[in-house]
Amino acid sequence: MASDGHPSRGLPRSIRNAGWYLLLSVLSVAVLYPVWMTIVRALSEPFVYINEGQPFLPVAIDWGVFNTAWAEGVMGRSMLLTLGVTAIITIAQLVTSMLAAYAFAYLRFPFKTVLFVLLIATLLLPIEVTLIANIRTIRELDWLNSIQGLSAPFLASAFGIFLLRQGFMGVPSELRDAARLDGFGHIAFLRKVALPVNRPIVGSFVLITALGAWNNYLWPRAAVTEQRWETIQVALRSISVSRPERFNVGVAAAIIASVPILVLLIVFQKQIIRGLTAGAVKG
Amino acid sequence: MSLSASAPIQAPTRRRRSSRVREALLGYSLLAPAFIVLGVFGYYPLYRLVHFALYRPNRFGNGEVYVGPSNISSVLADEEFLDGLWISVKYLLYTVPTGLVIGMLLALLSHRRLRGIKVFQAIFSSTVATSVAVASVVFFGLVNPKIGKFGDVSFISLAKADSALRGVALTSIWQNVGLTFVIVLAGLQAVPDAVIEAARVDGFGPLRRLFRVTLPLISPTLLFLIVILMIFGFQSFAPMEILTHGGPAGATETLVFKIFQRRAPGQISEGSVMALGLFGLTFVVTLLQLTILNKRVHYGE
Amino acid sequence: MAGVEFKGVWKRFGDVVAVEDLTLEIIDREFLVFLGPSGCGKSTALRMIAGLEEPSEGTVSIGDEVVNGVDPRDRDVAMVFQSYALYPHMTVYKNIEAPLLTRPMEPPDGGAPRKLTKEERAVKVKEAAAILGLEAYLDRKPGALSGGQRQRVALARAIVRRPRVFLMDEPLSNLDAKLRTQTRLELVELWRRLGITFVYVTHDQVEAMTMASRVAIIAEGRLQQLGPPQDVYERPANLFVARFIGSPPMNTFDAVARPAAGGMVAQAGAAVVPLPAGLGVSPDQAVTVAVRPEHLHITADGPLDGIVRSVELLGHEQHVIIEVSGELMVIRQPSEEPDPVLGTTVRLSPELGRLHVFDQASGLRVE
Repeated sequence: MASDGHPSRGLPRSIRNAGWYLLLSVLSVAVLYPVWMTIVRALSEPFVYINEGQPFLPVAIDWGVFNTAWAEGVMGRSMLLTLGVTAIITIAQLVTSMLAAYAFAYLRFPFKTVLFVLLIATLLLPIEVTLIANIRTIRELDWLNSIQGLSAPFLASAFGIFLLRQGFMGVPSELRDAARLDGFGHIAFLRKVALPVNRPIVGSFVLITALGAWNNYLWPRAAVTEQRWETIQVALRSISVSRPERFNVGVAAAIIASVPILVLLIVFQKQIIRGLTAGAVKG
Repeated sequence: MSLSASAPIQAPTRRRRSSRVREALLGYSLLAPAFIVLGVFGYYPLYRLVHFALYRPNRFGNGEVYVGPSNISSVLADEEFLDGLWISVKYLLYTVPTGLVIGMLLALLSHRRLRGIKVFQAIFSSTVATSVAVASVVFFGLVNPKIGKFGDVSFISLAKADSALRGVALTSIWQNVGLTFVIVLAGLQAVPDAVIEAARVDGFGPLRRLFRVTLPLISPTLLFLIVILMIFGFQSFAPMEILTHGGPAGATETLVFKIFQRRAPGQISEGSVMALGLFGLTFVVTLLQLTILNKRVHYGE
Repeated sequence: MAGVEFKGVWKRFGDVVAVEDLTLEIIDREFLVFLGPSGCGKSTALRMIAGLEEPSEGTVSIGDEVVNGVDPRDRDVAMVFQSYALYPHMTVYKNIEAPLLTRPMEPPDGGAPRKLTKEERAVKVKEAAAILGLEAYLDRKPGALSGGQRQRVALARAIVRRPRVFLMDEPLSNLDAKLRTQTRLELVELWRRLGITFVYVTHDQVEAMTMASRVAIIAEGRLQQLGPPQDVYERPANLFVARFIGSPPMNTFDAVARPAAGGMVAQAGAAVVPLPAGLGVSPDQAVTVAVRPEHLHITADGPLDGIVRSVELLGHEQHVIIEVSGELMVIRQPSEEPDPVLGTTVRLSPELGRLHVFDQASGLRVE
């Protein structure tokens, strides 16, 4: 927007572009500064680093810190556990959302509007609100420190149903008619037409759900009381914060824990951003 | 219609009715999985919160005694709750406007045709995917009083009660910058070029275009964003727990933090009232969004 | 193969009546075109044959079977949609194959209907693709095809299973003019080749005139006239049809029938136009007289007079627009005729045998 393609005012284009690059580079450095300092701290020997006044570049580099971090606590187990919980939540949410979204988009039944309002109203009941009641439920079910306890509250989501319903409703009505004439029943239409046609939306939804499940903090923090059931995000706290004198190991663990997310972000940047902006921007 | 003609359509009508029943049954069974989950972990807890709020465990821990609505009002009027509420509101004031303004500036600056702009855009959106726990650990390394590079900057010192919340807020601000950037940039990209060109032809300069055309057009996006940031702000927990554990002297105990601390059976009654308070707060923010959306905001169509 | 019959069919959407008391028999193997302005209920009628809509009242039969309440897939009909409704994520091959997947049908070697094997389906898909010249595109997705190619894929998908009735809902409206002309010819060719009943919906009278065995003209949910295109053109049953069919449309003027020496005349103000002998009008009956632009001529002694307002040259012919007592009338004449001078007054005479007369009150044709 602002001033692109607007020739002739003041400075020549090349100089103005150089100015933009300089400005954007400075801002990039500012945004990435915390990340860089974290990497520096992970690589530096902690006492030397603090004694030298926390310089911008690593000192007394020790690449072994990542091995130490991996062996610390039970990072491998934590990451595997988190991966499992993430997979369960993501698959379950996809299945429950797509079934419910299909019903809301294509089927006629009594109380549809009421049920839809009830569904949307659950957006007002985030886990922060329901936390202590849900913990009580999980405790009564004896699900503390278990995979089912970690995943149960997240097996369905109003957001997912809403998003997929929008997608399904966007399928042209003539395509639905054609499928009826071709003899597709509801299940066949869902599997062969509605889902594949909405692959971009489904993809974004899956990625956002997986990211959220992997990054979840409050619920696993409350639903777990034994260290061996800690998800990676919760484990990070005990690994890093509990012993500031060995903080290099802690931040190394944080870096390792971010690798899967980083890979996702690099590979699926477009889909993730589309998922994040769903609902915010029309069209 | 005539009698003779009515005979053949009887059968189809019945067939149609039964197919309608079948369709409804199919609908309900497709809804069932999602509604069971949302019922058990969404609505049932709401009911339980009200229940816990009205009852207290008895002295022996093996039963409940009814204490009634007075419990709710006394907790809501208590300093603990009001304190948590005020800290949560302050946290919003620290995190929402700052993150919003910085993120928006970055979006406005990088929404232009320039070779390699995608790289800058990727950098500016990068904070959005970091987990809140990782972000908290990152800022722990920067502002922790013992080992942080900026641990002794007094404006954000975690060691002092009057500045600790600002130090904690840095984590959320940093994450909000990424989220704001991503959403505002998407909003800017959705503004049709023709509108901007028309404004240019009308002789609007860059600033006037920004305030008279671009910002009004993306105002629904901005409003959505503000609400999201507010709700996220109210829900923040990891930064407090990891950076200060609520301290010093409870100065960073937000509402969610206090609720979390009261999850044990002995304090669940008080915690439930606070959770209902948080529910009310979320409700108001959302309602506000709907009202403003209906009245004030220019739609992009 | 089968005909289709509507018997007393009504379709209401809430308070809106889309189809009103439609009774109509579509003969086996004919090419029937539903023609009417948009929103007239013709698509709804077509969708009731397909089973995509159910009649509110009355019966629809295919062959000898009443199909009310029968699922679309069990009706053995195929349909081509205006948007083509191709599955965007499937290849052309898969699109054509789709209708073969779900229902039992007679295998190529004869015998009882059953689900076809993959090989048998391949034979049918290739056959349909060959008919429409799509062999080269079978592995492409619809997004990689031109509009005309997509349209042919939609046709192939519809003919692949040799339905009893072939339904088309404005299938040409998304094509450009040149392709439309060409496809019209191909559709008629396809109809001859397949020998099945075609039911075709359009708002374009050229499509109706060029392709139909019979045209059913529909307006405001009601059947206005049913007949071969030439009949409809030459003997419109009512004023609506008279004004709807033909381009430029018919010229009309209101008049009163009067007896005169040598038969009846139509009197409109000062003008007196003789009416054909034996016409069933009574003295003083209010009528609307209509004449097609090609049957109206500039003559020295015509009964009507008007002022030349404009002349449109179309190359092979010209349209002269003349204001006759406040109304515009159009004359269509060969371009060799001398150009009338704008603003001059000319006299007009209609060909006596080509006059159409309608009762003003009912709008019906008077014979």
